[in-house]
Amino acid sequence: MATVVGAFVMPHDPMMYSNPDGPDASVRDGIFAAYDEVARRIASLRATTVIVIGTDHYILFGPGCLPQFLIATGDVEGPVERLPGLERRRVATNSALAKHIAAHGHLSGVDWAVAPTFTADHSVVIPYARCVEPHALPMIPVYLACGVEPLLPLRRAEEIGRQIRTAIEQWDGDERVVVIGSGGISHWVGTADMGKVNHAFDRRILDLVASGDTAGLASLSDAEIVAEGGNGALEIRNFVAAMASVGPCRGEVIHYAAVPEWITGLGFAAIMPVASDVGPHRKAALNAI
Amino acid sequence: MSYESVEKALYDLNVDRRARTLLAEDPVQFVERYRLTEDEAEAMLEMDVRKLADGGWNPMLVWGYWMTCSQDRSVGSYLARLRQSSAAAEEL
Repeated sequence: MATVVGAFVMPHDPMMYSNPDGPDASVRDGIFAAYDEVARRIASLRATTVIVIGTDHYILFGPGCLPQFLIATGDVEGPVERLPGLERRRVATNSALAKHIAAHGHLSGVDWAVAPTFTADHSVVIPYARCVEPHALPMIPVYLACGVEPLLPLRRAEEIGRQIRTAIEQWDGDERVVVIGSGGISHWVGTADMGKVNHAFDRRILDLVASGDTAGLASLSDAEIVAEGGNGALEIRNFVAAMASVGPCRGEVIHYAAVPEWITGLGFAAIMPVASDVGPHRKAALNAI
Repeated sequence: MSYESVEKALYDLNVDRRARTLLAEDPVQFVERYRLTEDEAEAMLEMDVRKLADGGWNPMLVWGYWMTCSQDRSVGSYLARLRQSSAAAEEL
């Protein structure tokens, strides 16, 4: 039996690598400790595969083809960027499960774009390197269109998360899957407001995650998100998909810090399933905690 | 104005060394390659990131263009140019 045993949301700020001495050491150490805590919890969940949902920053996909959402199903490496201390590496993957998720989607109205070979960017590789690779677990990259028009509608991110969950529950093998929603929270990328962080907005988002309010998060308008959290905050699509992949859930904030030196409000949270039905997969997921 | 032509030019400059080399070594051919109008060419060749941002091109591409093609590839210099103010850039 395969099930989604839990999820996490976390940032993917490349400035942690390109400008490690930007913030005070205590702030930096707190962020890295949060990644370590997530890694510890992934191990506690006895995960066998991790799905990381990230975002292209108009590097991987160009104006020649902009997928709404994509799953990598074969060879994966990354990051595509040159970041000090994060060299490009081969990523261990679960190709069979990834192909199953894609095929399941194609039969159920979720038309995945598929990448049989893929070079992931920092949005996927940073969570992988900090939280997944230390446990030698396979990782499946998923990308949602959060940064380049046409954006994936938030409601669609929720549907994709649900489809991921359904596909996993219909997988014949035994898998304990953890999903990571990578991104955010408030940050303005490339705009005149770059460097601004909106603590109040970030707390509001984390409150929605903590209360398990997937629908509430998905109901935010992009105009409001951009006004309050910057164009970078559109990455909360990945939070929505991660929460939806768990199903009915509650969250726990692990850590938050507003780090203007890294131009981002950095938030970490765990997402756990709650008992809202008595199906076998829900029981299995709850028993996993 | 062709929004997509400029978008493609910015994207290629971000990810393709050959585009950056062409821009540096033969800007006239670069402008022809991407079929840029006179205004678009001027904005790109003068690295007028403010004009590019105001024109609605993706800010990640505009920022990446500055960070890959400008003389001073710093966030501070980019923001100074974008904000048309050196005082604001010193905050970063």
